[in-house]
Formats: sequence, structure tokens, C-alpha cells
Amino acid sequence: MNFGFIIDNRKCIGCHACTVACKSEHDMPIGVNRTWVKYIEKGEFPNTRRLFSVMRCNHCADAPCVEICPTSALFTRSDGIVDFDGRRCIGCKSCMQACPYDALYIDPESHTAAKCNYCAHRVEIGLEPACVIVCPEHAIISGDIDNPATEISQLMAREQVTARKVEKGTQPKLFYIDGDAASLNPIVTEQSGSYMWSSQSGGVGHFAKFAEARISQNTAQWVGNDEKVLVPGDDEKILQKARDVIQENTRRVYDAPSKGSLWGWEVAAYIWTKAIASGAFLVPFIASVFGFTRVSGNVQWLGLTIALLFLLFTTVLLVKDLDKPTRFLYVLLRPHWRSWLVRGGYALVLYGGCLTFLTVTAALNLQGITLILFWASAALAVITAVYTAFLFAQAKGRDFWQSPTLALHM
Amino acid sequence: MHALLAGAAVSGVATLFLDTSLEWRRFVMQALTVGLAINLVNVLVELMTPHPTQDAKRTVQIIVRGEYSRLFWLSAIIIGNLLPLVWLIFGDGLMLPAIASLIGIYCLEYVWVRAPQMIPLS
Repeated sequence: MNFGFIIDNRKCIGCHACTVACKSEHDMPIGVNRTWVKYIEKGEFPNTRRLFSVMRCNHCADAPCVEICPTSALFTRSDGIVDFDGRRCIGCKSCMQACPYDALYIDPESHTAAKCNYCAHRVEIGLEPACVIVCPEHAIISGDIDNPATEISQLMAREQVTARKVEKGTQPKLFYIDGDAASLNPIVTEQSGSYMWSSQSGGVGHFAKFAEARISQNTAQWVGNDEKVLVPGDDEKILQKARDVIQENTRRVYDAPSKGSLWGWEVAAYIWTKAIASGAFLVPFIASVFGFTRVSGNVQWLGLTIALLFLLFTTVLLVKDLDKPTRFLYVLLRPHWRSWLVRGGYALVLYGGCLTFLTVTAALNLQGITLILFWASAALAVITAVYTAFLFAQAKGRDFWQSPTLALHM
Repeated sequence: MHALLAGAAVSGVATLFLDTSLEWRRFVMQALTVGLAINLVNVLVELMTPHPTQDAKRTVQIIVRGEYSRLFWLSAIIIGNLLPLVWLIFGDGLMLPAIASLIGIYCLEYVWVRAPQMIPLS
């Protein structure tokens, strides 16, 4: 079994029945969606056309959200469905950085990540997903794409299908018949402050807790985003290049609310404190090992103390950034070893442990073991410094973080 | 790079509270100078080399000319990198350039974390 979806854009009428059925099926809070319909318009009046695109999890065969999840809260089932277990989620939001399709959100009630799970509870008893059942045009087709007898396989064999961002290598299993490039490429049309029938364009999911206050202050339409939306003209050349490919005047007229920038000052601060924790040990280490200068005992003790102190700050910031901070130990106790968040978490713990033991052995003047711990601490300091580059590289949704020089940057 | 830079900077700040040898202070100053120079080159190369995707190119635009340009140029590059570098080469004293470097590292990390998230994914 290998479940996938086809959205047949020749049939979709943009009625949002799939959105409503999904919200009803999963009893979802206001503002967040597991599936939604994006509207774009093309051309100039009277030669205009409105196009609909149903957006949701692509149930990727090589799902980056599964790869990055530190606690295996996201996992790929044997039938190809990418499912999640909210009971394991720590709310680190890394899956939302990894997903190139914007499919995940933070549930404002449970404070854990969620997304389309192909209505796995229905599929298990032989039913189709709620969105498939409710669609009045049979524009959503689900089924086993590996079985040549299924409707979805036959459609894929017969019709030309497209998928979103195939260049990411995620092997998405959500296919579009008559897929429109301007609809599927998010950079072609701007996110705007408001859409048709929609006044809330932000302040959802992780930021829902701020939404009510900000709306009541009537300050901004971009609730939950600290920044304003990109002003056209900032990067007009790039946008124009993208539009030239499409060669039509396109605009986004309806979309789900923006989820905002999910990693904020805490993440930047934790990289900063982590850099200090590593560097405070490494600088005296390099000076003494390479013989650049004589390092006094005072300087070494100070380096150790600063490193331990800033490791503590790093841990506090890491926990503070979680939407489920009470579950922070899951990173260590329920680890998913392919995630660099786990590897980094263990590096921090081992580095802290090594430094603590080094402090003790140095105080007791146990020279042999001190030397071993001295070198082990240096190795762990380097790992502590650079692991974030590998974590960011797992965040496949963000192209800028895929730079090979990021490790050098850290 | 940021780890070594931050380590040198925090060691520089620590000289205020700790009686250290002139030799150690000189080493920290040299480490900070070299670290700032390499960091500056690294950041500029990172931003100026061609990026393969439109999302990455657009992120560079946001950093260099858009929403985060002031934080990037003023705080991260000028205050956090160029001024301490010039101070260390031509001036005297370690404390101010060390503090400025720490501010610069934080601002740069903030920009690096936030700017890519401005790109819509859907």
C-alpha cells in the first residue's frame, strides 16, 4: 500500500467543502487548517480567470518533517501515510521549517504540531478521507498509487500530473491534474494583508494566543507577524523573473492565514549563547594546545565557568522556545536519532557533563583523566558549535539555510 | 566561526573582571581581530555568491535591501563587525570591541534565523 492524493483541477469549484469537512472530522480550532483552497486570479478584466488549488500535506515518500522530528511524533506508516502522534510532540516547530509545503501548524489548544493525516482513522476501517467523501465534484481522488487497479493509479497513468516543489527531493504524493504553475509556486503571487471573505491573515496556530489582544487593539492585519509583509519593490526583479515565467498578471485573492515566523529571538539567542559556551572553552584550549600563548589557571577556570553558565542559558532558551516545554526531556528520552535536534541535545548534555567532570578532576588534580576530559570537551565544544548548521540543513523548507557554508558560519 | 569569535569576545570582556597577563590579552585581541575579519568575509561571500533558488535569492534581498537591512548593515556589520575590527587594528583597548562583537553576532544570528522565514511556503 502506498496512499496518495490526486486533485483534479479540471473539476474543483473552490467550494471549500473539503476544508470544512476536514475541520469537522478532526474538530479543529479556529484559524488553522489541514487542507485549504488557495485562490488566484489571472489576467485583466474582462479577460480574467480564477483558479483553485487545494493545499495540504503531500505525504512525501521522503518526508523532511519526519526526518527532523526529534521525538518521532511524526512518522511514516507502512501504508505511506505521514501521520503524527500529538502525545509525543514537544512543540519545537522544526517540522514546520522542514516542510516545504506549509502543511503543518501548531494546534492552539494542544500546543502540538498537526497536519493532514489522510484521515488514517477512517482509512483503517475501509473508509475514504472526509475531504474525498464530501467533494461534490469528485475532484479529490485518494487511494493506493502502487496498485494499478485503483482509480488514482489509472488517472496518474492516463493524465499529465504535476506536484509542488519536486526539486526538494521529498517525493510528494499529492498530484494535481491541470496543476497551475502560478498557483503551485508561492513566490509568484504575494501574500497580502487581507483576502476575500477573510479579515484574519495571521495570528493563528502558535501565535493564536496573541491574536485576540491584537485584534481588539485593531492595530494590524498581520496579527502574529512581527514583521510586515514584503513590500513589492523590495525584490521586484526576482518577482518579475518569476512572473515572466508565468507570463500572466496573477494575484492571490484567497489563502489560509499566514502562520508567521515560528522561530524567533529565542532561537537566535540560543545559537548565540551556544557559540559563547563553545568558544569560551575552545579559545583557551587552542591557545594552550597550539602554543600561541601561556594560559594561566585563572583563564582556564574562567573559560570553564563561562562555558557552563552559557550552556545553562542555552538549555533554558531551548526549553522556552518549545510550545510544550514540560516535554523537553522527550528529546533525550524518546529520541529520533536522525534528527539533529536530538544529536545536538545529546551533544549539549555530554559537553556539559564533560565540563563538569573536568572541573572536578582539575580541582582534585587528577592529571590523567583531566587530560582525557580536556580533549573530549574540546571535541564536544566543536560539535555543540556546529550542529545547528546540520539542523538548519534538515529544515528543507528554508532554502537559505541549505548553504554548505553554514557550518563555517556557526 | 561565530563560536571562536564569541569565545574571544567573551574572553575579552572577562579581562575586566580577571587579572590576566599582557600576553593573554594580546592573544585575545589577535584572535578577535582575525575572527572578525574572517566573519566579515564569510558573511559577504555568503550573501554575494549566486544562490541557486528564488527563495534563497529573495532571502538575500530581504537581508540586504528589505525588512532586515537596517539590523543587518547597522547592527551586525557596522557596529558588530567593522567598528570593532577598526578599533582593534588602530585603537587601544579590548572591552568595547569585544562587547560590540557579541552584539554583532546576536544581530547576525537573528537576521539569519528570521529572514528565511519571511518567504511564503504555500
